[in-house]
This record gives sequence, structure tokens and C-alpha cells, in this order.
Amino acid sequence: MLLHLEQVVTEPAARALAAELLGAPFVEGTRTAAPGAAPLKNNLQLPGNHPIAIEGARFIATALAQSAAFQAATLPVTATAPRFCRYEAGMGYGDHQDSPFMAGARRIRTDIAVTVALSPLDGYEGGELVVDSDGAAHTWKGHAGDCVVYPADTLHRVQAVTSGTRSVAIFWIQSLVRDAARRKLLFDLWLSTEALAAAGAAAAEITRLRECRAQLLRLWVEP
Amino acid sequence: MSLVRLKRVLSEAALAELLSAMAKGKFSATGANGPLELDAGPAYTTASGLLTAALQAHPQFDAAAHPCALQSPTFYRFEAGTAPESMHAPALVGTSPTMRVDMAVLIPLGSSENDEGGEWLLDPDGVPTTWRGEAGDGLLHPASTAARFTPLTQGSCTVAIVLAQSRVSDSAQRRILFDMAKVLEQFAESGLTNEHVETVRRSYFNLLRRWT
Repeated sequence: MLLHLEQVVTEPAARALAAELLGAPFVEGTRTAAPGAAPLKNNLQLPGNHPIAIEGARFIATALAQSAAFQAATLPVTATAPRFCRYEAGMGYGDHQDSPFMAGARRIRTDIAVTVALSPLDGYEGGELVVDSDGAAHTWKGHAGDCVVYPADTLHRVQAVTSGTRSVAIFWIQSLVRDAARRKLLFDLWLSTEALAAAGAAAAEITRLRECRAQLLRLWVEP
Repeated sequence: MSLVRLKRVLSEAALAELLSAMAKGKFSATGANGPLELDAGPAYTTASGLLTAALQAHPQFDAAAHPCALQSPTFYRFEAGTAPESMHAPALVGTSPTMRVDMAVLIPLGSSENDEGGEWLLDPDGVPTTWRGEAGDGLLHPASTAARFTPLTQGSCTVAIVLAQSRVSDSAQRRILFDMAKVLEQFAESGLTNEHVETVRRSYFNLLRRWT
């Protein structure tokens, strides 16, 4: 499931963060490439211990913790700190898979990959994220503040940027529900139930649907 | 899945036909002081066919049980003084093919006018529950739940028990599916149709694909 969530960070805030990142001391992204992925990776990353990276990561994490849709889609146990990446003209990242484990506050299993767009759409050409999922290539390019959530076990790539600068925050989540199909089903049920509740569907049916989802969580969650 | 009450498994006409068929058969003792059981024979064959067909055509039973195999019904007559009997369903019945017993359905068929006492006592979730349904109604319960018929103090009553194998062996999963089916049925009855209802339906179908 490739899930696009709009404005998990407000566009002005995302743009402000992107502007702040422009003056930060980025280094070659190959330093954090997964084994075998270094030759494919051609981007820049801000070291995680830089003050802008620390503050930016806190800002992104706080915003996403407040997004009900993001929480329902990912059901996070824990996550890596967001990394800030920059792609300038000619940069991209070839077909690769993410490592199954990554170091965070503790070692986490990477069930879900997340990309948050920081640059405005008209700030660069190219630079689409392409995810191979369900036998098809899904392309994503978001407005500043949008994010995309996708299973980390998929083969994916970032198309070469042909002009401008693409700034994103990326991070990985270990989910309470490791299986992507189960997460999709839980998210669909959450989304439809809340939409039906907002539209005034009968309370008894809404309560029953919420209880069904709660029962599914009891069956599937691995705390 | 806990207990599911099934309304009108047998219509009045079907119930009358079934009782008429049973009246032509012979009930024999199943053991010392146990209930009587309808013997095999033409009466049993007719009654069994009627009840099995009625269950298979019952939408609520289908939504709650997702049956893939039914054992031929057993027809019991309980009379005053019949000793209480715990009905522990076996895990497996039959050979070639063997059926896994996931659920049982209790169907009261009728009682004498002067009967007293006599109700089903079940303990599905550690909380004893009693049930005495209307003739023709049914009670579906997990086969892992012991069911006991409390003694009649006078009169008699007749019940049928049907064991079933489900396409969904786990009772908690069956409960979720049943609840979702009921929600979708309510939406349909109220005329609510939109993309969100269809998403709920897709989720229901995907759970069926996953669990059956």
C-alpha cells in the first residue's frame, strides 16, 4: 500500500524548514547507504547530530504524532529519527531495498518507510519517488508538507532531479502490525468508519465497526 | 464467537412438517436415564432433510457460521426426570471425510403444554447463560462450549442438535465477520450506500479471503 497523506506538516512550516536546511552542512548520503546500495545512492544528507537536524526531526515527529490518519496508517511502536536528504540537479537514488533493521533509540525492524516532502512542487523537476508494489510502479511527488507511507520491503527509487532542489525528511517505523495487508485492512476500516460517523451513520453500527477493528487489533498487534 | 440466536430457522409450516415426520418415527433411550433419540429410518430421513435444508437456507446462520459441512441432525426428546446431560461436542466426527466440529446449533422443536423446567445452560465465556428459545428458533454456539439441558420437572420437549464445521475455524474471527455482516446488512436496510460502505464491504471480503 502506497498511502499519500496530505499536509501532515503545514506547507508554510515545511517550506520554512526546507529554507533553513538550505544553509545547513549536508554531506554525501552514501555514508548511511544500506549494504550494496552505496553505488546507487547519489544524494546529500544532514548529519543527525546537527542542531537543525535535531530540531527538524523533533518538529516532524511531533506533527506526525498529531496526525490521526498517520497514526492509523502506521500503528507505530517506534521509529528512527527523521533524516533530512537533499537531491540537487543530477542526483537520484537507484532501485534499492531498505535494511530490515536500523538503529534508532533502539534497533528497530523497518516495517514502513515514510517520506515527507519539504520542497514546494515547483521547486524542482524530476525527483519522483517510485515504489514497485503489487506488480506495478507507483510514482509519488508531494506538495511541501505531504507525506507518503509505504512498506519498507518494496523495491523503490528516486528518479534523478533534472533541475532545482528536492528536500525531504525520511524515516522508518516499526509497526504494531508488521504485515502490510493487515495494516491496510485496519486503515481502511478506520477511515471508512470515521467517515461514516462524520456523515451521521447510525451510532450502533459505528460502535460495532469500531469494536470489530479493536478485535482485529487484539488479534494482530505485536507490542 | 459467543452465542448467536437464530430467529426462525424453521418456519411454522416447516416446523409442522418436521414434527409430523418425526411423529412417525420411534425414539429410543440413549442410556440409563438419558434423553430419547429418534431412530434412523424414513421418519429420521425426512426430518433430517427438512432441518438441514432450513439451516442451509438461513441467512443469519450462514453469516454467523460460514458452514462448509453439517453433520446430520440428532433429534432428542427430554422427558420429566431425564437426568441432566452435558453435551460435549466431539472435536471430530465421521470418517472419509472427517468433519472438524467447530460449532453446534440447538433447535427447540416443541414441548408438551404442561412442561416445566428444561432449559439450555451454556458457559461460553466463563459466565453461565440460560436459553429457552421458541420452537423453530436456534442457538449457535462454539463447539468448545459445554451445553447442558436442565431437567424437566414435568412434561416433555423435543430438540435437534446439529454439529457444523466452519470455513473459519477460529470463533473470534467468526464473531468479527458476523458483526461486520450485520453492519453491512443494517446499512443496506437503511439505504445507506456510498464509497465508505463499499470500503467496509471490501474489508469484510478481504477478511473472508484471509480466514476461509
